[in-house]
Amino acid sequence: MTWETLPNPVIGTIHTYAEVVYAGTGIELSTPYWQIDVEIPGLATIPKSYLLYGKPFIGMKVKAQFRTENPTNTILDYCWVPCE
Amino acid sequence: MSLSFDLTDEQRMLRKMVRSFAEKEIAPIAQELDDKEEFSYALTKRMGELGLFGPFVSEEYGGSNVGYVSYIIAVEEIARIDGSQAATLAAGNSLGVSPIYYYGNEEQKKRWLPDLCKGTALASFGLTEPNAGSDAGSSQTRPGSKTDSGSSTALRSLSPTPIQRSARSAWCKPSRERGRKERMRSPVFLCLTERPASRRGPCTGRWSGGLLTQVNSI
Repeated sequence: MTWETLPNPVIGTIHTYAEVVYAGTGIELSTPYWQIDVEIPGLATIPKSYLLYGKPFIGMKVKAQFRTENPTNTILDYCWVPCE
Repeated sequence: MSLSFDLTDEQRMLRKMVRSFAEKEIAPIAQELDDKEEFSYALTKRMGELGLFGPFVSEEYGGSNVGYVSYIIAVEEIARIDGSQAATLAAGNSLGVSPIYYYGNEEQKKRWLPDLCKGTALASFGLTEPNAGSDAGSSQTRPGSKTDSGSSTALRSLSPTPIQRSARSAWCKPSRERGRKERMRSPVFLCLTERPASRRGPCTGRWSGGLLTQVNSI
């Protein structure tokens, strides 16, 4: 297994999802929000993140997005949005 | 030395089989079960038919003995579709089957494990008490103990027990001897729920809805 750097845009499909009603400490997202696991073609890792907007379903195509303005420098700067 | 994270062919086949089962048989009814706070004994029995109970149990006691990686794959695939059903599988195996398999005597293993591995019986774990939470080692119930009222201790099981009269089920209740050194030697009682002194009732409004069943017993 080796590390891979993916060029933008990074497109994946939702592997599974859950609605988060009570977020953990340090997760400064407004609740409820959708936590999603994303399958990325060619990668073994299924990263966990959140869907910025929209309602998820298994198999939904999503695109990675990064907060570049006013970043929090946490994992929350990375999320996914529905692929239009 | 490098570790291999690749799955074996058997593990890949298991993943495919469990994924198909979860998508075709659990997904269509998962939301409805949650909304109605109901538990599906039919799905639990199906998981038994697929060999998902007792994955770490030797074939001698009715297990499939496919190992912990396969067990994790199965829970992961079912959790992908329905967390409640995955919790049933994980609790039935890790809280119900494993204490009997690893710490039970030969008679107990032969009596309980075959039905538990087939999914025709489901073990539950009597974990909480009025004054104790999920810390099984701090349980106050001991052999012969009674509540102030002289009656039963209210226990809440982590997974339900089958309601079919033909099914046999068990719940394990840890009991603590006094003293710190004794905490690692918590005895567990194995009991049939179909006992006159046992009473089951619904436990609604909790996580996983109908997954939880309240059991009162001596």
